[in-house]
Amino acid sequence: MSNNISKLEHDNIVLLHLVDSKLNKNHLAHWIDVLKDSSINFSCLVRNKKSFKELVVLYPQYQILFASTPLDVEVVVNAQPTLKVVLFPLNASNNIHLIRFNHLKHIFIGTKNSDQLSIINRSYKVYDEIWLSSQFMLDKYNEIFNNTHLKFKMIGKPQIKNILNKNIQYEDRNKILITISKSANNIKNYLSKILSFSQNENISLILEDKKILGDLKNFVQAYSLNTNIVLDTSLLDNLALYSKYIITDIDNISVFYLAYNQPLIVFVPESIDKKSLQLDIPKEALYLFSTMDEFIEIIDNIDKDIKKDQREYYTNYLLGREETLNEVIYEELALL
Amino acid sequence: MSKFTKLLKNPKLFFKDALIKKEKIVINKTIDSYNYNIFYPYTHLIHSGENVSGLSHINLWIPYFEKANIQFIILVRDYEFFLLLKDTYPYKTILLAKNKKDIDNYFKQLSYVKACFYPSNTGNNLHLLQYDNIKHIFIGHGDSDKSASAHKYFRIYDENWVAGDAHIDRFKNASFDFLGLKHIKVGRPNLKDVLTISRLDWKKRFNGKINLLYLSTWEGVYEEQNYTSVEIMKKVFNTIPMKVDTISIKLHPWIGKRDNSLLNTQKELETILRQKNVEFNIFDKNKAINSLVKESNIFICDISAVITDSLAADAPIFVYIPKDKDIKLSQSKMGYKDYTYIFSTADELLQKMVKVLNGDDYLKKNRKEAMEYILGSDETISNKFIEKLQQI
Repeated sequence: MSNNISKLEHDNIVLLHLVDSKLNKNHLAHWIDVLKDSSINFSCLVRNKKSFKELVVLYPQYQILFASTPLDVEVVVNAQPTLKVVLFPLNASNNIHLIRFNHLKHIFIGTKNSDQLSIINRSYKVYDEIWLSSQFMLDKYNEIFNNTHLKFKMIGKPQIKNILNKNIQYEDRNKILITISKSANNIKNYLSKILSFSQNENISLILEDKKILGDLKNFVQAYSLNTNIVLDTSLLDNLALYSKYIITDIDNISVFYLAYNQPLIVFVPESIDKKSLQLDIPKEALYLFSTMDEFIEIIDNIDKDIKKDQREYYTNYLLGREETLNEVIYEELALL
Repeated sequence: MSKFTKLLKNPKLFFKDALIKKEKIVINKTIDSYNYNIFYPYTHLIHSGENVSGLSHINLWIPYFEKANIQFIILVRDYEFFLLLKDTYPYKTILLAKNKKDIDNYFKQLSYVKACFYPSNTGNNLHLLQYDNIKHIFIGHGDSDKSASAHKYFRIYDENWVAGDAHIDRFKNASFDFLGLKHIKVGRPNLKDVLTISRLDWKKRFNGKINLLYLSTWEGVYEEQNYTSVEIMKKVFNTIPMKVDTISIKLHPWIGKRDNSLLNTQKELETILRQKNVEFNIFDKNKAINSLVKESNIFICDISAVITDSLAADAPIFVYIPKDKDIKLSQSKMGYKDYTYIFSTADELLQKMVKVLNGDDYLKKNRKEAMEYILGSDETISNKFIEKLQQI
């Protein structure tokens, strides 16, 4: 099977190394627009044949290459004599096949969720640089690394620049968004109460658990509620940006919710001790509730939004808002 | 045909299939252990991510781990290699863990382990390197100036145990930062015997006899990496100076792998040497180089770690450096030309050999310097490796 080397067109500077057979698609989707917008010449090296076949179909306009063995990797590197940098979304075992090239700079860039999911250990010192989103990640690395050759650069989350940049006027924020995860059984018991309580509002409800779709539709219809049930989770950004506030549960709340700059109201099952609860977003930036009384109290005072400052602080601390809006990544890529 | 019908109608086939199925199950094993006791306080772990080809790496170090009198364990990632190690070292503790999950399971038990030792750079080393509570030490399996011996991946380890200053200089000259990696000089314990023998001048060893050892490399994956001297050595052996008493040859086990025309090299050399009426031996690939080095006092080598092995004998070394190749070497203070007689043609080799065998060993002083610089002869003689193992 062709490895696409014969199709190499440009004097490529950057190589993106994709190693996870199942997640390559997500990793490439996360970085491809950033690389495209930077105007730097780049290629992508895929290490799994099935994934390579899939990606060349999905992204025919890009230079996607395949290499299985260390020798294949050497061929790929030698075929691109202008190559200067390799970007690694994952700290994977076969990164060694590229890191052994001393003339290349090796930069770990992570994935969409690597800030929260990756367990940082000393093996990361194999790279030349680590590009990380925020001060939060820098603090995490600094706990482990001191006195090494590693250079850290904060680049923000360029993928969410458009969301952070959106300045939706308050009067245009006329919806309420509810998102519930599959596993959040307890909130389902409250859902009818929340919907009934907010019956005069324009509600969008993103539902992952299709098992309850039928019952929910019947309920909404029977009580003539103004509720739009959405099954497509990719609509989250659009719905969230035009909402007054977001109601979600502890399994669904992610650091990216901060980007919407909305009050975040999070359901915590009563069985869980709120004091010992650890979430991706610190609790001081969230409105937590476990009972309807607590929920009503939050809604009654939501206009004051007393957690706004904390939320903005954590948007910068966790997501690198400043670096994202200042487009630091493009400056760094231009310097390569 | 159901299993029961097969048993009744064709019992031979039934048992044959059952055996095949059983073998398949065994081969798919991802985790296994031998002489392993979870209550033992194993403190040192040697990890090889190689297949059976990693045996020579393990062989190199085991005697010194034993001499250190420490509780150590060998962990491998390949089932066949695991079986081979069981046969080779029936009294040692050996673990098999194919996947990262299996490694994690073992590390839940191995709470006494203080350090992991890596004889080679394989991708699956990463599965252990994620354990920050353990010291990770690269010990290698030889030493050469090839670029593979000083690259950025080494930075993943806490320490790089090297023979002498040469390896440290290769890193310093490799144009990359390695601030988090400590280099520790430990000598080459496997060369201690040879170093001891080398105290006697090479001309006086073996009752004044000249024992020549030829150590070849193979033709490489690509033609541009072809550093083997086998073709020109055929010419050399045809006209070898009569001063040579015995010739020993160890060809690289992969010779002829890419270039079929080299597959008959051994037979061709045998034919040539028989006609020359000279005493000779061609050793098989498993013969330990050290034992051959000990018995020799003139060396002809291709670029590889065997040059360093030969250096311990403190005797003239002739190294083939092809003229038309761009050889990527790591840079240290002393290059091959400083302490070996380099050649690129048969005539050049013969000319230099005659000169040296006639008494003009003009690189002798440099060679002595290289022994300390490259091999860490002082550290080797003083058992530094064993001492460092015990200090962990």
